Amino acid sequence: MIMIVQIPLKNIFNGAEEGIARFRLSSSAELNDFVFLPNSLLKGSKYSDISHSVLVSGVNCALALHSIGGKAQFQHLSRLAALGKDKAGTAISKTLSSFFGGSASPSNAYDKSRAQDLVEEYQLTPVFEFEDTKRRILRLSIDPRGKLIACADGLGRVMLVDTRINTVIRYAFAVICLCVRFLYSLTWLQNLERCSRCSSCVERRELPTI
Amino acid sequence: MFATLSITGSKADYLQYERMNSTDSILRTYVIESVQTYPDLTSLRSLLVSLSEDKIALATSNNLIITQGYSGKRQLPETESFARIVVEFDEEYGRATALKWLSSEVICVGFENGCIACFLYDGTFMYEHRAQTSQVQSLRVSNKELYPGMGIGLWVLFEDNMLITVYIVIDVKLFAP
Repeated sequence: MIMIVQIPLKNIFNGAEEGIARFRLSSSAELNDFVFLPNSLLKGSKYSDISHSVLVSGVNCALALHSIGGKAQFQHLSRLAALGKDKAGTAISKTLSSFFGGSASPSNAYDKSRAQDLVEEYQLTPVFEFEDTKRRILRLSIDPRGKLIACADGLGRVMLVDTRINTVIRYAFAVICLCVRFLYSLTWLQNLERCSRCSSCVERRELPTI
Repeated sequence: MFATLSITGSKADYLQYERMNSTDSILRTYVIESVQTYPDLTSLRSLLVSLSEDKIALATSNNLIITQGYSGKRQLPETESFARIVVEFDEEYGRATALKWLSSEVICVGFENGCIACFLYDGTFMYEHRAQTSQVQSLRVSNKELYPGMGIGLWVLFEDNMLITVYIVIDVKLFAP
């Protein structure tokens, strides 16, 4: 199941001035990875307020799509940007530095306890979920065009999701080897069979089909 | 695009990573010598990788290794040496759990204790931030600039299902030697 959730953005930051935004992903599942879906997928007035569309992966709820967004929700960050420009002599904007506990001038000193009070957590509910209680998706990798997402699970299987129709279009059953596990976290793969050519594989076994 | 990682050499004394296009031509090769120094590398456990345009960053549980790649074939010249930067993490960070290049010059590492730390490509420490106390699960960069001059959007997923975005303005020149 894939679900898209829209969040009322105007309520999110509530005037906080920190250069940080917190979103609590409402899920009992353990989450492992996430990717941004291209904005080109969000066309029409229905999605006009969405600035980021995030696909997360994990256990139980294998995939979940969250929509965050709207420029208005990040409005307080514009002040941060202005500060960053003014303080060009700093490597990182002083607002951030002070918040992170780095050196800051007294004028920019920030009360951390107050910051914690101001920074609210915004609960995000997925609009779309792909439930698979037995699958534990560890890594996600989106292709450069943003049309396909490779989802690698803990057993060396790869699931290919078409983002345009939110559907799983292909399963790949690769051999398990340390090299493959390593590659999952690297980049977009189209031909997993080639991994068998790697000389560093120390463990291999065929996986049963689902 | 396809990628391979292999430990090669007569005594597995260096690690080679290759990126190839669909025609199997090697685009780039990265070499890290003295692999035996890093048990996590030889076992490929607790190993994280991130690629920038011409550099590769590897994070073991307590080391960050950055090296530049070179264009060429997989046969390595015996006499050629390769620049390598190694950063040893503080013990208080715990194990490195996520790795991502923020730009071609800045690498960000996420840790078990919830810290994220940024380093320059030459290993210079830039800053650290601890927004949560749970483990960092994943790091992503959003180039979408919400406002002019906003900087890079670093998104961090934590083990307690918290997703945090931090916008960072980085002036690399200030860290130049």
